[in-house]
Amino acid sequence: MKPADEQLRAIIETIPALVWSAGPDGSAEFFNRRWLDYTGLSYDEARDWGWAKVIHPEDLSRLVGYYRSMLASGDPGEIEARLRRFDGEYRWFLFRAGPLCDKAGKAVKWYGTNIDIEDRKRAEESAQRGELSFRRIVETIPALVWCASPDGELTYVNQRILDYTGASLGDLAKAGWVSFLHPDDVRQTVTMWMRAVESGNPHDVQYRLRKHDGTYRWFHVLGQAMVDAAGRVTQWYGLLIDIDDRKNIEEALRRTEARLSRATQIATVGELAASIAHEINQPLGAVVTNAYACLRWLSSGSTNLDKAREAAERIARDGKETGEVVGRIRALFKRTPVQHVMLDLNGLIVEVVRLLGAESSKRRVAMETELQRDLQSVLGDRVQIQQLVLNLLMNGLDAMDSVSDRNKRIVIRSQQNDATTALVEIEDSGSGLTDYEKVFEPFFTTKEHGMGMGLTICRSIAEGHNGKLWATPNQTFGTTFRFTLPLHTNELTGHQRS
Amino acid sequence: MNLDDPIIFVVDDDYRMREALSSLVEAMGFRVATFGSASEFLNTERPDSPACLILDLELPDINGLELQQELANRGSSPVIFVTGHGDISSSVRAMKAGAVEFLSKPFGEQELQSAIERALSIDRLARQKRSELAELQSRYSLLTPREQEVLPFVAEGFLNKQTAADLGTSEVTIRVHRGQIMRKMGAGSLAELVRMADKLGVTPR
Repeated sequence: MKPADEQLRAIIETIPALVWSAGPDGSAEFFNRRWLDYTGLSYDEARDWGWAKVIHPEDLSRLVGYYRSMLASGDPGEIEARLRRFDGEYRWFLFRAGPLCDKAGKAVKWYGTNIDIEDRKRAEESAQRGELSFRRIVETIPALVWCASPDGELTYVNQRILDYTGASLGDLAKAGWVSFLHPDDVRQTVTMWMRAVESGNPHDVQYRLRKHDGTYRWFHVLGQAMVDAAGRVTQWYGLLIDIDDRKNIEEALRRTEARLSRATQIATVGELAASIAHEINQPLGAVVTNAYACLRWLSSGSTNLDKAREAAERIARDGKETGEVVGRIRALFKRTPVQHVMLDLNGLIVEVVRLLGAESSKRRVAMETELQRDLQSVLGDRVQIQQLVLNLLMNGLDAMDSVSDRNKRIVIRSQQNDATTALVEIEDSGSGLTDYEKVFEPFFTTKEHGMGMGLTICRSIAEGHNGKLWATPNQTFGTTFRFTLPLHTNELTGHQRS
Repeated sequence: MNLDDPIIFVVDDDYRMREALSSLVEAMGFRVATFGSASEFLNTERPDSPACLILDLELPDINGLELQQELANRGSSPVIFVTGHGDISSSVRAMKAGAVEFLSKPFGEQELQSAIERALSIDRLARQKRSELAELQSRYSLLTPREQEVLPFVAEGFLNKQTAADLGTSEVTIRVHRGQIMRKMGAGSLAELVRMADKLGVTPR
C-alpha cells in the first residue's frame, strides 16, 4: 500500500464511527473495523447486500427504499434505523451517505457513516413520553389551566377551560377572556393582571367567570411566572380554581353572622333595659320633682318666686340632659349599614362605660379607664365596635358576679399597639376562665342565661375589622381580653376588598 | 323652727335629684338636709327631731338596702325608698325590711307627700314609744336588786307565798317588796304593772 493510503486507512479505522463504502449499484465493498466489530459480521458476510441482515426488520424496507432512492437520484442523504450489535441488541444509528462522482457527474462510489444515536433517541423518546404525560395531566386535573407569554398574551388553555367557557382558544386569546369576566370584576382583574405582567410577581385574584350557559361562578386565579437565568419572564403558568361553593357558603355565613350579631345586639339591649331606664329616669325624675317644687313655690301660701325660678331653671337643664341621654342610647343601638369610618376609640369607650355606669354600680363593680391620650383614630363600624366593647364589659361584669372576697374591678385601657394598630385591654378581677380559646367557640357558655354567642360575635367583629381578639389569664385573679383594630391611615386601598 | 319640727333627710348620689327633692320637700314646708352618700349620712350628727329618710336605692358606697338594715339596727328614722330601676325584687326586700314606701322615679308629689306624712307619723309613734320606754327604764333603775328580782314573779301572777318559797324568804318580806315596786314604778294596779314589765321585757329566770 502507498503511504497515503495507509494514512487514510489509519484515519478510517480510528474515527469513532462505523464507515463503509459501496459501488454505484449500492452493493457494499468496504467496512471499517469498527463496523465489523460492532455487527460481529465478517467482511464476506457483510459485503454486497449482506449487511441488510443486521438492520432491524422493522426498519429494513424503509431504509432500503430510501437508499435506493438516493442511488437513483445521486443525492446524499441520511436516515435513522436500528442496527444489530454482535450480541443481538439493536441500537439506533444515523445512516449517512454521499456519492463520489466522475467528471460527468455520475456516482461511481458511495461513502457512508453510521453514528450511534441510541442515547439521544432514548432521551427524545422519554421527552416525548414526558410531554405526553404532562399534557395528559394538564388536561385531566380538575382545574382550569392556562399559559401566557411574558407580555401577558394567553397562549394556551386546557380543555377544561374550553369546556367551561364553551369558547375556543381563539375566542379567549388577545384579551378575549376579559369579555368572559363578570362586568363588576373586569377592572380589578385587568389591573392586577397588568401589574403582575409588569412586575413578574405572582398573580392572585378572585373573579367571576361566565360559564357556557351564561351563569357566573367564582374562581380563585393564581399565576406564576417562569423566569430564566437572567431573571426574564419566559412564560406564565396559571390555574383557575372553582371557589363558587365556598364563596356562597362564606356569604351565607356572613349573612347569618350579621343577623346573629343583630340578635345579640338586641339581646344586649334587653339585658341593659334596666340600666337604660335608670339612665333616663334619673334626670327625668329630677325634672318632674323640680316641676312639683316649682308649682308649690308659685302657689299661694308659700309663694317664693326666686325658689320657683331656680326650680324652673333646673327643669330646663335636666330636661335637656334627658334628651341627650336618649340621643346617646339611640346612637348606640342604631341600626345602620356596616361602614368603616374614622372612629375616636377613646370617645366610644367612654360612651359605653357611661351607659354601663348604672349597671356596674348596681353590681358594685368599679369601672376604671386608662386611655392613651391623643390615640389615633381607628377605622371601623361604630355600632359594631360599640357592641364589641359593650359585650366584653358585660362579660367582665358577669365574670365577677360570684366574687365576694375581693374588690370587683374592671379596667379598660387603650393604647397604640404598633405603627398600624391600636390595642384595647379589658381586665376584670373575676373568677377567670377554664379555657382561653374555647370561650370564643359558638354556643360555649358558662352562664345560666346566655346563648354563648357573645364572644364568638366579638371575635368575628374584631376579625371583620382586620383585628384580633384574644384572652389571657391575669397574674392574680380574672381575665384580660385584648383586641386590636387598624389605625386609620390616609391610604384607604388596603380595605377596599369586596 | 323648733326641735319638734320634723326634718327630712335626703340621701341620693345624683346631685340633680338632691336639688330637686330638697326644693320640693322644702316647699312642702319641711326642714330638709341632703347627703351624697350613705357614709356621709351616717357620719353626720343629726338633730333629735321627728324625721324620715328619703333614700336612693342605688348608692355608690353602700347599697340602700344595706343602709336601711344598718339604720334599723340603730332604731333610726323610717325610710322611703326611691329608685330609677324600680325592679320588683329589691322593692319587696325593702318593704319587708320595713320601708314605708317604695317610689319609682319619676314619682308624683302626692305619693311623696303622703309617704313623708306616713313616715313621720310612724316616727312620732316610735319616738313616743321610745320615750315611754325610757321613762319606764328610769323608774325600773330605782328598784333595789332584790325588788328587781321580785318583779318578774309579780308580773307572772305568782302568789306571795310561792314567790317567798322560790326566793327563800318570808311571805311578809315579799309583800313589802311588792308595795315598794308598785310605788316606785308608779303603777296604779297590778294589771298596769304587768304591762310595764312586759314593755321592759322582764321575766322570771
